[in-house]
Amino acid sequence: MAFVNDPVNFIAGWLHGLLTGWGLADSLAIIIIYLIGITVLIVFAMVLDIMLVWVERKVVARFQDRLGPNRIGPFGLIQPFADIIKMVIKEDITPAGADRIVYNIAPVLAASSVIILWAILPLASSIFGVDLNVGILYIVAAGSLGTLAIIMAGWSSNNKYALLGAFRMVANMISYEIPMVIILLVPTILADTMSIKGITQAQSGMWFAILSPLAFIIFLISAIAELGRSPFDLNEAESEIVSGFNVEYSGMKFGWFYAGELLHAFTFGGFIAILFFGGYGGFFGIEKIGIFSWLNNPFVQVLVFMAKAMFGYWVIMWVKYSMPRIRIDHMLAFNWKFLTPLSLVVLVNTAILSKLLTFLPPWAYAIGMFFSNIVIGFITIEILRAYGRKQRKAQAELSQQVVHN
Amino acid sequence: MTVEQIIFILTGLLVIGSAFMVVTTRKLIQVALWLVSVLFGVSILYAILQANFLAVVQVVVYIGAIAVLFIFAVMLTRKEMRDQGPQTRSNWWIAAFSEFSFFPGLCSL
Repeated sequence: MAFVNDPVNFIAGWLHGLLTGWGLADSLAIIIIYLIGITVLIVFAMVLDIMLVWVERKVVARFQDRLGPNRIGPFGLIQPFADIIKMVIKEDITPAGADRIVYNIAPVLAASSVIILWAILPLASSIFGVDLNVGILYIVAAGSLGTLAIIMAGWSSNNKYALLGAFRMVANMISYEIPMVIILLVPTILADTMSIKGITQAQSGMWFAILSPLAFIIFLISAIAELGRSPFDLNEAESEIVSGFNVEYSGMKFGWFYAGELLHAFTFGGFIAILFFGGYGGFFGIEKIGIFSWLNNPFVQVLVFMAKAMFGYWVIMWVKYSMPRIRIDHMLAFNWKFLTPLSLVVLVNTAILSKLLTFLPPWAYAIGMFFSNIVIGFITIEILRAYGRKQRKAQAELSQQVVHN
Repeated sequence: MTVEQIIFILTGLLVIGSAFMVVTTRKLIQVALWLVSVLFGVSILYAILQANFLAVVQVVVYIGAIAVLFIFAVMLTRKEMRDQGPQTRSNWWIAAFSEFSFFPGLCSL
């Protein structure tokens, strides 16, 4: 039963006994166990990544009314392996005048900036890499490493389109980091902690998506922008700058960017699940009832977490394949004139109300928080409508003047 | 020697080597990237010292903001991305002397 209730610590304890039984020093055995744990986590993430290629292709096919890969294996499940073999045997090209070292490091850094996010991802209450007490800031830090990788790729390719793509991507990522950082403070305030696991546990009674739906929507938008996916895919706009920062990369080097992008999207689906939908838990308290105590089993928790993360990933894909690309000045205006002020309002509202409403019972607290968000959303839409009407009126008057003159 | 000491020495060598490359490399973008390596090494040192907050903020502020700003400033302002001229001044030996006397002092602490 020990294995079923706590598999990771059970295996770690067994390995520790085995290694020290062979005569290894205690500290060395612990280091070896940690290295094995890291390897297993990365292998899990990368194997999942291979399957995400299939998921992505199948889902985009369904959105576009096609069948998707269906030739190799059942439901085309072996297709991603064929893709990988194709990528590995392709010729590895380095453009003339490229900065060779930077050019080769960039794809590795791009993929590793995603994989380091898995260190803080709690898959279950007992299965996680590390429970940092600054987990929220760690997400932001990993994002800034991704920005650096894209600059390196764009600059070292010695290609105008690559550099343009990198410039656009950096403008995108740096500006959308601001509403993201502000909105990440909302779960922090609601849970009173920055630890990812603490935030998950704080949602065992009530999801933060219900306490603050606006924060969830703003986080989703800024996460999509951070991923550089459509409608924010200016960095690799195929019709304007060919493929953006990765235009010169071929074979498996391109494969790293592609794999990193897919895993990044899934990881942010996971963070949406953790920060706003209770992560591996969040069953509204029914797991405390005797019949449902199996919900606390780590294997069930992993399944619940994966299902929620897949749902977040699916929403990101849904947006990606439904929206046209947004122009760069519209994108920046949308961020600085709309998203940033709105996220500041949501943050202030959450900070004040979460203190004012603490004396209420939990259900009244939840209703108060929810309706305050609805009111803010309603006021925002009214302001936008009035602004749009004013703009249209000004334009109409302008065109009438032109006609009269 | 414990594992932490080994990691500390490797990280220290990374920081010193990268810092040396920062002052000797002639390509300006590569200088900025070596600087990123120095800052990242310092962040690892903070992490070894159990200062999680400082380690993460080091990456967010220095790599995420300042290093990216450096790279952009270099890319947008320089026509020639290569540093010309001598890399040392006439009184470089004073700096070298004070540096080499400072290091044993640090070690004796």
